[in-house]
Amino acid sequence: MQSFAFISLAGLLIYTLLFSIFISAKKNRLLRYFTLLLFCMILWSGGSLFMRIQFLNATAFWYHISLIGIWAACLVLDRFVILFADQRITRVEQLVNILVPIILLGNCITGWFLAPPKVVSLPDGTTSFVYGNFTIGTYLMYALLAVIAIIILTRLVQIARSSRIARSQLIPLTIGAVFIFGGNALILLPIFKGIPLDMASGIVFAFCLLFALYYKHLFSLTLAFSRRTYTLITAAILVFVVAQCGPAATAYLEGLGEPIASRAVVIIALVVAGLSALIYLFVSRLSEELFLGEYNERSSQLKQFSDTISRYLNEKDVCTSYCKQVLESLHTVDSVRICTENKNGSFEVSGSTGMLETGTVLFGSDSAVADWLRNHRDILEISDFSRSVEYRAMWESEKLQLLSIGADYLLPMLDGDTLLGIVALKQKDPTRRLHSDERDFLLSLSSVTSIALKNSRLYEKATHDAHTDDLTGLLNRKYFLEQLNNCFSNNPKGLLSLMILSLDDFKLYNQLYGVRVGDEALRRVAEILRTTVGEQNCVARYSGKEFAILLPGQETSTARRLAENLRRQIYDLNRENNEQDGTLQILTCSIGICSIPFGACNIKQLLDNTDLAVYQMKQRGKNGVMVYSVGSVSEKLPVTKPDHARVYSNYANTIYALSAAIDAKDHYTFTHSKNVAYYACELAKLYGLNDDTIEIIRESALLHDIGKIGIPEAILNKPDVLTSEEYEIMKRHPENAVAIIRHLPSLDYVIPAVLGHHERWDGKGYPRRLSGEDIPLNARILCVADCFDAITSNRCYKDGRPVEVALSILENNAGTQFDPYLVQLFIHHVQDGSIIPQNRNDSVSATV
Amino acid sequence: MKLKEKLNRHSPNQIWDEYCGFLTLSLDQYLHIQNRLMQEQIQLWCASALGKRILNGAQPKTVAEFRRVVPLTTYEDYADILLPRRSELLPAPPVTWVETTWEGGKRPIKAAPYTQGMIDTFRRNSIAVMLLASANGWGDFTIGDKVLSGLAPLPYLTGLMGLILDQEFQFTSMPPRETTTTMGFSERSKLGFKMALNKGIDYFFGMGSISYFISTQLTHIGGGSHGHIPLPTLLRYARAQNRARHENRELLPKDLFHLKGFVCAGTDNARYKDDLEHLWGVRPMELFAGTEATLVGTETWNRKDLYFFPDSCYYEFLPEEYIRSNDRHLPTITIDQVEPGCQYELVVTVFKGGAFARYRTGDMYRCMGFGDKDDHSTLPRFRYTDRIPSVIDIAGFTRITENSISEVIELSHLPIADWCAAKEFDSQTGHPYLRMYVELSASALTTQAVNEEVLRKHLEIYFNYLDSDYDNLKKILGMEPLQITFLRSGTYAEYRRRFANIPARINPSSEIRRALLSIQEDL
Repeated sequence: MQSFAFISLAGLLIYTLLFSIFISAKKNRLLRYFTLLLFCMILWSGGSLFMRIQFLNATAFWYHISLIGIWAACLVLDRFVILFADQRITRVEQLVNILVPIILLGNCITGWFLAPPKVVSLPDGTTSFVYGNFTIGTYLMYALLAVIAIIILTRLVQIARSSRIARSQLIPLTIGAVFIFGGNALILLPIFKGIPLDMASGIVFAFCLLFALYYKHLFSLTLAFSRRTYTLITAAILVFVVAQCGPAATAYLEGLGEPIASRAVVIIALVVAGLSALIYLFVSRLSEELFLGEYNERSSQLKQFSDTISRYLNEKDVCTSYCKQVLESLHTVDSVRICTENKNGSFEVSGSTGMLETGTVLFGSDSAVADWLRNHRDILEISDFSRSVEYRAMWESEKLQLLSIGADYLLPMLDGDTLLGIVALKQKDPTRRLHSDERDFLLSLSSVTSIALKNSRLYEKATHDAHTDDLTGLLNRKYFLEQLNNCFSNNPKGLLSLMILSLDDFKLYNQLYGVRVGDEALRRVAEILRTTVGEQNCVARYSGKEFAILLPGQETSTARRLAENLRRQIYDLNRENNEQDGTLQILTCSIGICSIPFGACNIKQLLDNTDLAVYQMKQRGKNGVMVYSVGSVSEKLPVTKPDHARVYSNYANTIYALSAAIDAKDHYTFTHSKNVAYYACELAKLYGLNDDTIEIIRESALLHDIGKIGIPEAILNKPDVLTSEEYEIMKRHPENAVAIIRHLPSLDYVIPAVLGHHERWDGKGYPRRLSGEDIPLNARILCVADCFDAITSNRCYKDGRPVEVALSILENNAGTQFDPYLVQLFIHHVQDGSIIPQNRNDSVSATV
Repeated sequence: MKLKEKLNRHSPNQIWDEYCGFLTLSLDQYLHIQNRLMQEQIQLWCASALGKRILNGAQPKTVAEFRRVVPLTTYEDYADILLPRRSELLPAPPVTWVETTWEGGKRPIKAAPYTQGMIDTFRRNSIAVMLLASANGWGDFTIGDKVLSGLAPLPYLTGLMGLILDQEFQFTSMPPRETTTTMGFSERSKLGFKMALNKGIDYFFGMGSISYFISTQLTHIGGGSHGHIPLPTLLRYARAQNRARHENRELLPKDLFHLKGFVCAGTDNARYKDDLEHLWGVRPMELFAGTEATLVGTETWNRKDLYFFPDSCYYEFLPEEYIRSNDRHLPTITIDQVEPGCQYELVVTVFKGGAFARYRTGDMYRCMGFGDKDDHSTLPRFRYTDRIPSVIDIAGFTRITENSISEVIELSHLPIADWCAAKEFDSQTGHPYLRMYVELSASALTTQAVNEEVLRKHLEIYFNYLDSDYDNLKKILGMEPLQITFLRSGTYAEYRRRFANIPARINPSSEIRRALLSIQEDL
């Protein structure tokens, strides 16, 4: 190889190496321009090299390639500087961008600016490239190059003068620019004739740019050091060595004579192979020792952290471990706080390098900081954030909070698009910015922690779900019994009280008000228990309507006082309900208490005796507290299925007495009840209901106005139209009826019909404003029967109307007041004589 | 970090994004900022004694509830708390108070509290205005440090802006800010101009009307100077004279100075902008601010329409058909509901602990459309039209209402039987003035010598007495703000008979005014 060609070769190899690194890397605009610049340099150095070695004997071609490379490099360098300094292109630069391609094209065709050199063979066998004399075109070309150089250097100086941050970033760039333009200017001097100083300066220039990018944290050294790079470096060195020493070595071996001369190629190949292995080993070890030591250490820390943290199933442990790891790995960090999302969606401190901050809410769920982290998924530098548009949405209190945290950086912990947590980092030196390697490391660490955080939350949720009741959020029966056993086995000789709280008539409550209201009642009771009982004790939903409360260390009297308190609070819920929607919702509870060692010796006895106390309380009228003590509570009797007829007959006397009492107040009611019972039973039969249900309907009909016993006589027997206040009082009679019937155990099955007989099909009735088929069927039947009898019978305020009129009224109100199907059925059967009107005021009765 | 330091540390693009980046917000992002800051303000305002008094027991939690339960307010709702400056009753402690004229006479001033948060927002948005004023396109701005100021000093809002910009960039204010309290307007103008001739001007800040007046006087002020004149001043003057002579016209400010930015505020700017552009070679960029509402909006470099800043106030818009109504529960719409071409009165709730909630500003804006490609924005664009019809504002100096004119007439004891007044514009210059359509009492015509001049002089004495800013119209702007048109006796009665209604006393429509003139000819 000719002298100095090795400079071009070295340049070409370095540019190619860098190009191959950056071409596959993830790039922003600046790195793209840098890659393009490297490509131009490859054209330049490659063209120069191939021209010098007269590759394919196409000197002129390689010359023009080289020339295009150098000019293109200048233009790209200009754009690179503009982008690097975040500036705008000027008109002069735009003009230059147009002129340069024109000049190059013209030169390719005419050679007027700078013609390709002539190849001259020298007597010593070497070749020389003789350029023609400088023409005006040549000077013009160099003048244009000088203009570009001045533009770039002026821009660099201007930026450096205006900004001290930019100044430090621009130093390597400026040095590079001085080298490249200086190198190209020096080759004009006769003393440097033939020496490719431009190439040599280009190499320095490329490394300056590389350093500038690194200094601006735009790429990581890890990008440069990979197996592929080592291979490329090894190959480059080998090519260089072989190109430089190969011919000499061959000549030397051939000079040694046979048999070595004939095996020169094999020997050289073996040497090259061995050398390549050594070079590869050397390059990889050297780079790892010099450049990647810290990186490798961090990788190892990350792996170790990942292994450790994945074992934690507790969120607090995960957070603490993360904070510890950050402090260990990054010595520039002063403190770390990790905030995780709480139930309200706010972010509160779950771990920190300080010990007293846990639980403090630092960021709201919709804070501008959280929004930024969600949207950008990157590290937020606080000083930059205060200049962002998002900052405008910050509350003044949030700004103060952010200031008081004293963090320099915030990191997101993301699970997909969900922000699980926010990490606040404080640097020891606030002016020191995180390096790109450190940023990558922190993001990797956060990513690993996010997964661990998510897993720990899933585990905690699964554990929580396994231990709690879905509806009330209290402990479930299984876990409660575990706790009970644990409690007893931990302290078998200690005091232990158990309370079982059973809601009275809860099945009826559900029937009356619906399952949704029933569930809401359970939740409210659970809330009362949770807030009253305290964290020392244990509250569970024991069965559908039963709650259990474990009171370790509490004696019976304390348990009793607590039970009384709970009973009172639950009873007070009724008043709240009444005030809210004006409807009567009766919720009471019976509570049984038993204690170890006073009432039981073991867990089984404790549970059985508490249960027995509850049962006894139910038998004694409900809504009370019963403490078990030996002899005070009778044994539980077997429960038999209620027989409606038998139950009714048991209470027939009572009902008769009540009816008589109403009769005494309202003379029309007693006959009316009998008539309604007749109509309702007939309608129920025609509807196809079974005998049991018909019996319930009959009893319901007889009792449906029993609530009128609570209505003043003056209202019941008022001959005029009722005032609105009086009407409101009158409207209470279904609820009054329920209040009476619920004290007659086992007659509660009539309540839905009694309570609902003034509901309307269109939902405008009372007391619960039910509509359509939400109204129990029995109540709908009772409603038709009740109205028909009311219309046709005489009252204090009106005479009975004819049956035909009554039927017409029913028909007109079908679908609004009455179930349309039942009305149709009723009318049809009155008209065909299946149902016989009981009041003889009509003309129809004579004809049907 | 102050702007001056930021210019050293950050690239121009970063600085532009920080201050003017709000223009690129989508409407959703804009509303997010508005609603978020409103949530903060609801908490602060509802917890304050001032808020509780207006809320009358209501406790709104959401923006919709707040808009439903809080009535539209005017300064009367706040006067008894704000005029005695009872800070303890406000949503947040104020760091300063800003004043403006109210109606003169019985109610001379309005005072508005400014909290630290409001000042910070005001600062950021004032810098945005400065950058936009000097920009030639998106992000293409230049910063200068020599400001010719025609702004009123503190306690006016313009004074606060001067102070804040000075803190941020250490401007060379011409005249120096400390002279504003010791010198008269004319002296200050002269001093400012002399300094400008020496040092040059980068920015010119002022109310449109005042800027126009200063501009027209500028070359004459310089011509009358005596004593030592520095060489650079002479050179600047010579160059300018040469240019003017070359173009065969009188010397104009644009011959002397090359402005980087020109910002004007106040009302009636549209009437002065063309003239100012002719004088300076640069079209002024308008900003929109009010003592109560703070700095709410700005035009951009293309000087077409204004955009509202997202973090100054929560903006509601009262449709034009309700503007004359004093009902406190009128329907308003939000910024995403405005319709291009429609005119609205701006209703604001000041963020960051401001005192005013659902406050009727009395300023009318027309929506011009949504977004502009040049501005890189999709936000709604507006154009200021005028004060609401019940107020006459002449060149941003006065707020003349029916009350104030009635008081003037009462004090003057002039035999005026009936009257109405309207803001009109000079057919030559396009500049605004107040015209009163006056009918004298028939009995006085035989006993008192009253002509147009006598009436004008009389009324002006009491206008000046009640409102010092009225006096400034003459003194500062050198204009004749009041014109009188006599109507024959019985004109108003005849109008009422013919049209069966009473014409509005303030700003009756041009049809009504024409009808009055026509009726008197028929009488």
